[in-house]
Amino acid sequence: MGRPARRENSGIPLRCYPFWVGPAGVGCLALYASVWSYLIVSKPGYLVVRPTIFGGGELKMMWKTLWENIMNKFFKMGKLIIFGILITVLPLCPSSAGADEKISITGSTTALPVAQRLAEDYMDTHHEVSISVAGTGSGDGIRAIIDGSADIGTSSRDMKAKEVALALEKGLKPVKQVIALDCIVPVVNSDNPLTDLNLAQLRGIYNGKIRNWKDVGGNDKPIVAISRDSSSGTFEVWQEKILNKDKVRPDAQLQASNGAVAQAVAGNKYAIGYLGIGYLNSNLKPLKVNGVTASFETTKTKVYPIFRELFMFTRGKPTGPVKAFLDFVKGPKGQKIVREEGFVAIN
Amino acid sequence: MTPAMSEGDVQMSSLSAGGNQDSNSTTSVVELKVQEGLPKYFFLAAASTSLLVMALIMIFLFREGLAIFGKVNPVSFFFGKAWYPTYDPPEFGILALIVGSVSVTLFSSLVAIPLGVGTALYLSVLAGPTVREYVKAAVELLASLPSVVLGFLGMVVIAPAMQQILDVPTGLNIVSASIVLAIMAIPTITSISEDALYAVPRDNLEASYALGATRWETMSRILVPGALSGIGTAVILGMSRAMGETMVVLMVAGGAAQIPSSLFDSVRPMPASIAAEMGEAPFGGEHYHALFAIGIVLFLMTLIFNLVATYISNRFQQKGASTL
Amino acid sequence: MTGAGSRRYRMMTERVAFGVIRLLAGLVVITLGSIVLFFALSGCERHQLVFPD
Repeated sequence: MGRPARRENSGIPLRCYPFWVGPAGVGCLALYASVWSYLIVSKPGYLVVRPTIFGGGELKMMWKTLWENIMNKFFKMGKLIIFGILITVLPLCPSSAGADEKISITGSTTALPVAQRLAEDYMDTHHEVSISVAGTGSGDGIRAIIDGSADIGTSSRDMKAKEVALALEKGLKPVKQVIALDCIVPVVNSDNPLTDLNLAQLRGIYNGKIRNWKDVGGNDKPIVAISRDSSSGTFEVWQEKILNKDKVRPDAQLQASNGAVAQAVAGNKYAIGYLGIGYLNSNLKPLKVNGVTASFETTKTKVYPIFRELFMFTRGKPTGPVKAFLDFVKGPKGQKIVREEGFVAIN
Repeated sequence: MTPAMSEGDVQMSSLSAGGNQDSNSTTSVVELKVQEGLPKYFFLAAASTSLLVMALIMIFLFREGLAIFGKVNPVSFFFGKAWYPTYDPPEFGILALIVGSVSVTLFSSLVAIPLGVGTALYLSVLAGPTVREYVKAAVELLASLPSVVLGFLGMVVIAPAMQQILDVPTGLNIVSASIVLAIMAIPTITSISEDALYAVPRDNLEASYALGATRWETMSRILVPGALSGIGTAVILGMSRAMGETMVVLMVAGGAAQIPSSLFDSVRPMPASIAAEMGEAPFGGEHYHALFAIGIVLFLMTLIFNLVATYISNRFQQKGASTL
Repeated sequence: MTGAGSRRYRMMTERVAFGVIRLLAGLVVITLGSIVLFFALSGCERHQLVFPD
């Protein structure tokens, strides 16, 4: 067919303006802007970027629950977009869809992933509450309680005397609640004959004084010490309970996540590493410390030495929505999340 | 036939008597200008947006990074061997990190250059058309593998295998990281070199054959020298990719901030350090600024690589029937 | 020709050089093949083994 192209012969002047120049485009833009402004104003919790390399979870998340996570977030976003449309269409009654109680949580980076999960799950069932979660460090959590910039401060250490004094000066009586226990277990490759180390030996291995397995009763092989990044909460525990003031040896391999430590130890018969008790698996051999096997029971009874408590501080006796949230955290559902995030539950 | 098309037919048939002259005259000059102007401004806006974003990133990077030099002496920052950012007092010496990045980049280019350039030569000289199509597709597939997947491969397969076979203390070391980085750099090197080889004028090759040179002589004296600028660019770009790569070195290089004494030692390249620590560094603190300063160093190194690549491709440009 | 030498020598050089190039290209293809094979063979089972709950 020798049909001539339409463009050449059509008598209509060509106006190939793109679709976004026109009412449709303006409408789209308005919708887009309104969704985002709604998000920013009323759901700041969703916009908090989780500041860990694997998106708050661990390496295993990537493989096992990536799809689940995407779908989850997608549906949540879907809900929010519907809210956004409602607000665009019904500008006269915006308050009907908004959340009216806000809780802000800030503090420890160790507690950040678990606080984030807790907040998300709580908001799923309590639409009237919006929770924002941030993590910059335990000290910041306590400071935020004292100066009133947050409702709940998470911390991986107790308040110092100076901080208590500062709070009393402002007329506050901060209340602390233990929400989880963080138990760290030294692990070796399953080919390693060793079963038991004491705190001094662990310290020697990690500060570089002990470099051969035969010095702690193993074979005549070099020790490869695997540690967490020096900014992680797990490392903080190790630093506090094992290394004391010593520096970790410079040739220690610093891994970015518990999953990476597990992988590195499972793949190297000379390696020793440490990880949160929730990350143990059958490829790793947990070591006894001072003769005590690490378990949920020995951690709860404080027989096992390498653990610490994670706290949530409030400005005074918790009331209203904050109390409801803390009850949820300490209840069975909250503690289930605590276990899923690799910590030891308190009950 | 779609409705739109049939509508067009009707219009055309009704206007066919008028012819081209008529229909063109209905489109005024002003409208033509508007038609040309709109896309032009749109693309101008797009281009200037990306420039603006780039400039903002630069300003942010330098503002955040240079702040560290108010607290830490630059000499002890660049030449200090101890990287203990979270201790009290902290130590910010990034020499070990720089050495880590450089050693991994150099060793990976030692692996990647022969393989990448060799594959490009094979594709452009030796391979028959069918093989060529398949191998090209396969190499491009290699380029599309995400770095986290390759890092996972290095962590789960290469590192344990190396540790067991060679009986070195650890499999997470310079060599295994370099091998994985080389796998990532090969597609870049191969495809750019292959384009460069393809751009060498056929006339030159045919002249060489006409003088009685063998295929190898033609290749080594006409083809490769002619494409040298492109191959050089390819190599430099491959290296700069290896230098900036984060996920692989984070997972496979081991992460020990030490100056390596052998190729089987663990290192902590700069991108790995930034990626692993940025999330936990207190906002606005010394550690935070130090990580941005590492970002500046990394940025400058990659910039130098890219400038060298541009220089090579301009300086040694093939003058002839066609150029890359 | 500058590359002086017998025809036999020239052919030998060519064969060796092209052999090396073929080897390099083959290595790349084999690397790719083994990566794909690895991910094909070690499916979810392996990941389950490495990262259990």
